[in-house]
Amino acid sequence: MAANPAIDFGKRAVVTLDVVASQVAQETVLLNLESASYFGLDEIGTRMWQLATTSATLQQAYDAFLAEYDVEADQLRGDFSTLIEKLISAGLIELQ
Amino acid sequence: MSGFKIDGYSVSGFGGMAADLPRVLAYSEALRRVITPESVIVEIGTGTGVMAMHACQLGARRVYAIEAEDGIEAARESAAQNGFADRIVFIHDVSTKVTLPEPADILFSDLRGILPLHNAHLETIIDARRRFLKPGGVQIPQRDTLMVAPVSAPDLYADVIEPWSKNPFGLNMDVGRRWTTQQQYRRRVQPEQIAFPAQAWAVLDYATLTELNYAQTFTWTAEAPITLHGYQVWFEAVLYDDIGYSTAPDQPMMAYGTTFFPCAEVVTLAAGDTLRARLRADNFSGTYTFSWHTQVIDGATQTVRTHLQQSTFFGGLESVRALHMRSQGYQPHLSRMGQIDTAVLSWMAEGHTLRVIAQQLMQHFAPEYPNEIEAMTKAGDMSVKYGEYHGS
Repeated sequence: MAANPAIDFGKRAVVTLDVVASQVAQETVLLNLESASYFGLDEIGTRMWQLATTSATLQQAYDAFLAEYDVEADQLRGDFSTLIEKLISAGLIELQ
Repeated sequence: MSGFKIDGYSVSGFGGMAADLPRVLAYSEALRRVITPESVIVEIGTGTGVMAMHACQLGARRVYAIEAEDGIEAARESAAQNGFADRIVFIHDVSTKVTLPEPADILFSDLRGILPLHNAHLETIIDARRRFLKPGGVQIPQRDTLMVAPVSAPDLYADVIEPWSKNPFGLNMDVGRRWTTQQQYRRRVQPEQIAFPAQAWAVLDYATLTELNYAQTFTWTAEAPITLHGYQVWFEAVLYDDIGYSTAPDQPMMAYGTTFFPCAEVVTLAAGDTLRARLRADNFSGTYTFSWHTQVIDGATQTVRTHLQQSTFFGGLESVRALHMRSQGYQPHLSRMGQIDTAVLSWMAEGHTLRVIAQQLMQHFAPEYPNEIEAMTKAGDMSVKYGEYHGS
């Protein structure tokens, strides 16, 4: 899957104000209090979330994930971009 | 606006509220100030009816006493015994479904829980103010101010987390701790355990409020090293003019109690560090979700050293499976109990008696309802829950 060109991997993902997250079993539930909606991430999504929201840049998060998992680089870049895009559109993160 | 049902006090619970002397005396004094012989009063949540009867003692011409819970039957009987049956109109329903025959001069209520941000309290007041009260009428209470202060309370904190941090088998129970620190507790600290000066979270002016959700960010800077365990939240009530009370930790204990939001872990600040906290209360379908974020900003580097985020949304021990079943795209399938309830509802809608419904239950759902007692119990429960009383 091709990476979304709109996602700048040089930027940092910051959790939006008024979003709370909690790990439930192997999954993560994200609650956006402003929109009164919640979202679930599976085990892989949870790890992407953790890396994306704690790394200095998306590129660093991507590199760390690539080192941890047996996945093609292009495939990961596409999947990672898609997740970031979804998180942004759900108001869960902002890129800075 | 849909109908609201205020979370039930039992009759003994009503008794507890009615016997809370500082609260009752403050309400009495507020009523004494405003009641005239022409006063028409509406009370939302009359409970035992004690304040409705007291309003009559103070000279009110008419009191409409509304109560959703069954305890109103005791109130009705008490009013008759005390000679007020002709002046109090008891209405057994949720106030949002009630229409009054005349506008009221005075609207009074106490629908708070530990905090005024409790279930459908605010929506109920907004509705009652709009539909029941005369223009320029008096509201009691007039205003509540929510106050918040970080606390250093190791004893109280241990009380909350100890079941999960200590066990005789050396087991790791951190998962339980994650749940237990995302709940609202009715606990009160000692006044000396307040670590920083309290700040106002929200002012609820009942004559004008329209907002149900409240969010506020607070900062405090440490002048000396300090250890924090959570936040104490209370309210300062103004019933009328200078009459009011407070549930603050340094005030006499009241029936409401005070709220403690624990931190996910013990938070330490050095001199010069800043505590930044954000509290939110969001009303989702008539129930409040409280969320609290804690950040410690290092005084020397100005970087965030500690970041905790908690919400009562995650404190309910609801499983991932249950959350999935609540998601928008989920297509629910009726469980066996769902099939039974659906069948009973359809028989009710067709106008059958409970005896007939019980017989149908035994015929169609024999494994669950093998005898008449169990079938009648189920039919009766459904009748009370979903039926409308039209006399016997």
